[in-house]
Amino acid sequence: MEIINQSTSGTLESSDIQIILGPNKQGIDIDIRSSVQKQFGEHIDMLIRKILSDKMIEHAKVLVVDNGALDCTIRARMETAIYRSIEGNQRVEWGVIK
Amino acid sequence: MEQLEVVRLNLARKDVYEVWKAFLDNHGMQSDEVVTDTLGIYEGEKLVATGSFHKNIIKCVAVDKGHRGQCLLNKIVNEIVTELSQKDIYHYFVYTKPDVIGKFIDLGFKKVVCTNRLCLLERGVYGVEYYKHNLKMHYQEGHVIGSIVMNANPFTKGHLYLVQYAASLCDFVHIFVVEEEESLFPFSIRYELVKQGLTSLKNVKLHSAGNYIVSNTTFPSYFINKKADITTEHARLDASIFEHYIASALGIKYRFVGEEPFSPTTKIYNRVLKEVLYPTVQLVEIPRLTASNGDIISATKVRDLIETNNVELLGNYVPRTTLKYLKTYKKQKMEVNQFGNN
Repeated sequence: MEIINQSTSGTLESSDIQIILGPNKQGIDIDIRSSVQKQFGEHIDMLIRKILSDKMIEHAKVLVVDNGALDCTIRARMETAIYRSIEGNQRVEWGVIK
Repeated sequence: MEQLEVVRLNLARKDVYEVWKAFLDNHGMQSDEVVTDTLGIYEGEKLVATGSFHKNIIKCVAVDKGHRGQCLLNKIVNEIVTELSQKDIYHYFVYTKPDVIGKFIDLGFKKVVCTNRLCLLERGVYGVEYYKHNLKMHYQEGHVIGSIVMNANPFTKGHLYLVQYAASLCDFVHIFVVEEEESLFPFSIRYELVKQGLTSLKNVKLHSAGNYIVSNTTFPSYFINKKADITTEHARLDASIFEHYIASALGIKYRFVGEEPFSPTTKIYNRVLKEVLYPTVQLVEIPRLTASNGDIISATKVRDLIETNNVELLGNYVPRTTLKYLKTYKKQKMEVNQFGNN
C-alpha cells in the first residue's frame, strides 16, 4: 500500500495515542513523543514499523503523541490513519478487515 | 468531579467576549488577535480554559492557574487539532509564551524559534527541518551568496533594480517571493511577473517563500496592522527563522532590502532584521529608485495608479513585462465592471 494523503487518528486523552501520517520520499521516519518514552519508546517504534510492514508500506512519515496507549489501541489508531491516507480514501469495509 | 466539556465560545456576544478578554488579560495574553474559532471549558459559570485558531495557527491558549494538571490543555488542544484535521490541516503552529512551551512539547509540538517574549511551535510531519532539508538541494557554490525577500505586488522597476544591484555584487542571489495570499495580485501572478522580469539574469534563483518567510505564520503583523511592540516581536521571530533555517541551508551572507520611506511596519521589520541577522547575515539597505518624474518607485504607488485608472503612467514604474500584464489585467477588470453595471 502507498500513503498518498496526510491523515490523523486518535486523541490526546490519557491511555490514547494520536497519529499523524503522511507520504515520504524514502523510507519510514517515525517521531515519537510519549509520556512513557523511557520505558516504551522503543517498543512503540518497533510496533509501528511492524504495522506498516504488515500493510506493505515502505515510505511514510509518522508523528506519534502517546499518552500511555496499549498495543491494541496503537494498532487500531495506526490502521485507521493508514486507511484514511491511502489512495482516494477508498471506502473501507471495516467489518471484513483483519 | 463533574466532567468538563469543551464548548464553542461565541465571541460575537459581548458578554462572552468580555469574559474571554478578561481571562486572557489575567494570563498575560493578547486578545487583539485575529481568531476565527474559539473554544473554551467552563466549570459551572466560570471560564477555566480557552484556545482559538485562525487558519493553521493556534493562539490565545490559556488555562486557569487553579486547574492546571487536570489535562484541560490537552482537551482544548485535542479539540482544536480535531477541527483542523476535519479541514484537512495536518500541520499547524502555536504562538505561546516561553514559560509554557514544555506543555506543548509534551503534546507533540516542536519549537521553531523563541524570542524573550514569544515562541512559535509547530506540529506536523513536514516541519521546519524538512523545509530546510529541501532548501539545501538548491545550495549554490560561491563566496558571496545574497538573498532578497519580496512580495512583489506587483513586480516594479524598483524590485528589478534591487535584484540587479544584488546580482552584480554577489556570486549568487536567492530570491523568495512571499506566498501568502493577502495581496491584490495572487501568488501565481506575482511569481510569474518576477520570473519574467529576471530572465536576463543568470545568477539568481527564484523560490516560493512558503510557510516560514513573511507568512501569516511567521509574521502576521505584515498583513494586519498591529501595535509596534507586537510587530517588533513578530519581526524578531521571522528574522531568527531566516537566520537559523534559511540562511544556514543556503549559506546566505547578505540580505538586500529597499529602504522604507513609507510603511511603519516595514521600517520596523528592516530595523529588526538588521539587529537579529547580524553578524551571520549582513543586511544591505538600498535607497529606493526614483522614476523619471522624481517619484519614489513603490508597488503601493503602482496599485494606486491602477486604482485611479492612470494606466498610461505605469510605464514609469514597472518593467515592460509587468506593464504588459497590467494592461490586460485592467482591461479585464473594466469588462467585468461593465458587465456588472449592465
